[in-house]
Amino acid sequence: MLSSLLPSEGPLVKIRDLRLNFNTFDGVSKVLAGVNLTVEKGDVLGLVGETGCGKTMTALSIPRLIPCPPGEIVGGEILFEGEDVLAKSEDEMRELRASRIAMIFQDPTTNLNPVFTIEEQMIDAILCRMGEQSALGLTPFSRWQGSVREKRTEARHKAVEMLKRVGISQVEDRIGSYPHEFSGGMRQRVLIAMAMAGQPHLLIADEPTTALDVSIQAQILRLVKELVDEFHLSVLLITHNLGVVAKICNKVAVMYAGRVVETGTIREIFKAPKHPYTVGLLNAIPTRASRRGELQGIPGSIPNLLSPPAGCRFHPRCAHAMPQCAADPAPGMIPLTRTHQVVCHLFD
Amino acid sequence: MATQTAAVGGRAWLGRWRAENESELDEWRRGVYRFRQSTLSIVGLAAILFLIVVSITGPYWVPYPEDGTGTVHPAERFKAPDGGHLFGTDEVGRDVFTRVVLATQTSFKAGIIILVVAISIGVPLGSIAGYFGGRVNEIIMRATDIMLTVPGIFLALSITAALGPSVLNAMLALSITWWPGYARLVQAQVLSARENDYVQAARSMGASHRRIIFKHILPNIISSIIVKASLDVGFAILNLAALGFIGVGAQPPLPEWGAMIASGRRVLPQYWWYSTFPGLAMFLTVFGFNMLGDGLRDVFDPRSRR
Amino acid sequence: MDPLLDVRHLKKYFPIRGGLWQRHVNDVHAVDDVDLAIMPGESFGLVGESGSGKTTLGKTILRLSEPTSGEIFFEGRDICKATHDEMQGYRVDMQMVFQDPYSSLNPRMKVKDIVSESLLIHKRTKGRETLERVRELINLVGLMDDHLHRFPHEFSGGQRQRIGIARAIALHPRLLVLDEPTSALDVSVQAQVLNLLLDLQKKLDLTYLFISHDLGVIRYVCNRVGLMYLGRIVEIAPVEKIFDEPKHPYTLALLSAMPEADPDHKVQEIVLEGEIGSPINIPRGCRFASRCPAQFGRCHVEDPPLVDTGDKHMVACHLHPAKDAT
Repeated sequence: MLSSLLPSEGPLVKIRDLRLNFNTFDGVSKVLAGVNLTVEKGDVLGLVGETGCGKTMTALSIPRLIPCPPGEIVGGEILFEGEDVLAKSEDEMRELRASRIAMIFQDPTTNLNPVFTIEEQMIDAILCRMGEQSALGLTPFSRWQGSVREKRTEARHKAVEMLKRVGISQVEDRIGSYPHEFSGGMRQRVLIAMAMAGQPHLLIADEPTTALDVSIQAQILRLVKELVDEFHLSVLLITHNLGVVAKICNKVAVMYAGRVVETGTIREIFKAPKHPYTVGLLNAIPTRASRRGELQGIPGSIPNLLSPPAGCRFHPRCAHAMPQCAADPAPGMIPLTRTHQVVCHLFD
Repeated sequence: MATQTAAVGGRAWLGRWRAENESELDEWRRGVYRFRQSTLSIVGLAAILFLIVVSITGPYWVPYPEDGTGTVHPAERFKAPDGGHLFGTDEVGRDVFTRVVLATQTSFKAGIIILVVAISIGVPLGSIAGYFGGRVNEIIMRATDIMLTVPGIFLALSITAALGPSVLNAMLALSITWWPGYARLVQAQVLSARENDYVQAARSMGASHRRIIFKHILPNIISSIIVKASLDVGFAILNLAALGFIGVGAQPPLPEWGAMIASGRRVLPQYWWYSTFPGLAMFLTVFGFNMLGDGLRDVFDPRSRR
Repeated sequence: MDPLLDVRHLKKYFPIRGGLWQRHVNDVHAVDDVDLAIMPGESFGLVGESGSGKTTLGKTILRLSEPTSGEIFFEGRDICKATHDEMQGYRVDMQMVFQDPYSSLNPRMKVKDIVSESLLIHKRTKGRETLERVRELINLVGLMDDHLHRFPHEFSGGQRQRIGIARAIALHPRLLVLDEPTSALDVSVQAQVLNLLLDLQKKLDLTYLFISHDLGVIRYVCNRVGLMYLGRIVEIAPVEKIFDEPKHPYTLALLSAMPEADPDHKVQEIVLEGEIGSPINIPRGCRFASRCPAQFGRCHVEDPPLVDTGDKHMVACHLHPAKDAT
């Protein structure tokens, strides 16, 4: 994609051996145990895995939105455009979140404030992204000042433009509405418009279509695809739905119990999966080819991260487990091709 | 030999019991852990346990048991606290310590009876209203609203005025003003609990209304009733004392904190011990029940559940 | 063969009350004139998006919510007219598995009490026998004996759903209504539960009404599929027919929008504009007309009935007229 055309710069995001613990009532939960992940410029990377595998925590750690405490980053590093995120001050982080990283979430309802109109929320979001906090009108009477009004009018123009761009019809009539007057799909479009307002370099989309119906999901995915091409955007798409990944991503990272176990291009993962977990996951999805009764689930269930299995965390459920899988910690990323990497003793 | 087999059998039985009830034991352990997180809850529990022991055993060890009745000792009038009279004496020479201890029983009994009556009226009414909804709900809840609009003390005053002042009538009056709170709480909780899928599941297998209410709904809301009740006992005792204070509750010579404070008030501040010690006892009671209630709320709070 | 379940002209409206006197101002037409027949031993899939009325239809069939009008025949007898006592008899034969494995199990009851409840209500077993039967059921759904004495919160989502299934099959029902039984589960667990359901169907001779929004799951489990849109069934056909020769434009669009986990799977995607309409003010004519890529004049005037277009393929669309009976 785009990255191949540009002179070779560093990757957009590079996460190296990230370790995150949650200190809970029952003990220390090792939520992330050495995550390695790279997002190149122009990538649409699908981060897939089951409930509790740490995919959301991985993504939230990039803009440093993990609640600490109870969370605690105990090791590793996160580079965003070559800058060390973990070393930044809170002010620098705020600037980074406003201008270069945007997020959309699963539930568009709870991410819009029900007591403000779409217009007000859009304007505020745009002003924040432009770094014009002074125009938010937080001090008394400041909204009557000429300069503030000018900036707000400007932001409003931008809001209308963005809402049109994300496919909301009759924007001028509907911009004054409250969130509850919009449907789920429309609210997700509004959130995307807000996220895109600052022309971010990275969009983190956390299960953006899970709460939506199939036909609405198709609309939203088409929109994201268009935005990627139009704004040279990189996307980290978190989902448990491999169908969605196959539809819009060019790369995939598969997570299991706090580790990335396999990454590769979409064809490598879907057509030649190597890690037994990836294979199991793909076999568990009912497809056109699956015969009645022959679908294979993965036996057992995800491990308790308070006391994860020793060695490779997948070995108790793995059909190919060898003695060393239980004894040795999982190996590092083993490169199979330039893009395809796997973490498994079978490929040592 | 036989005893040995019995012992082995007993141990096996105990082992099986433990295996079958491991989940409950774990729940209990977690509950106790959460309760112990707060020192004040422990203090509250200790205070209440202490007062309960005092109220039950008090009559057997108080120094002057006859002072609970109408005896008078004019010579001992208004003696300051000393070794013989720990809390001093009152206007007719009775031992204040004895009377404060004996009044504990009156107050606890009354507080608990008021709550039991209020709960046994309020919970069934609230459950019926919340579960069946519609017209039944309207009738019950509007009646509850009407009860809530009448100021409690005013109603209690009218009842005692009509039936004559006594502890029993004061308790009756307070029970009547107390149940609407429970009806409202339970109605709201039942309303949300009955929407759960497990209630639908029970209906789909043909469970009776009684079974659904008692097996599926009440066990899931009982914790909020317990928490409210444990907070309310203190206030019920306080209200009873208030009625005693204005003279429509306990009648002399029955020892009662509110009545004692009322008599002592006339001789303040010279004979300070007369109202101070019953006041402190009341403070300890209300404080204890409040802290206990807070602790129980922490135990039952679903947010701290796994 | 006679159908096990035969639903005719079933309607379920929820009244909307408004104004000072709570007057009846309008209705939510959740299920609006549905005809449906399910044969014994069949797995009938009911597909639809949120708001299509599929869950309401399932609950109305079990009389968990009372139908507004219409008839529901179970083994030839109309259960809408059944008295409370007669209904108790039918309840033995019809059970439900719920979507949310968290709210469908009473958190204050142990597994053994949850599973044995229906046995006790209908007095099927006594004392030790009950525990034996519960143990049998629990093993049948793939759980262990020592799970009996635990509370639901000690289990994972997949295990909870197994408990829900054990509860539903305890009385040996004929018909099981499964309301999105796997949509809250992860794919690897979903596959386990789906296989369990197929397995149980064979062992216990069950008939399924399988409600889902996931076409992949429906294709895997069901023999026959019905598509619902805004309270109405728009297409019913054997599963191969639905996936290979869909007829209704809505079915076509839904199938093309279904994400397949295969990067080589390229279809001409029909992205439907707009959203599912409001079930309160149903427009005149076909309910799908406003979003339909193939709509024409007649669609906005006349509501197409569900007709047989041949080979048991029922469609409600003006583009597909009934095949004349010859």
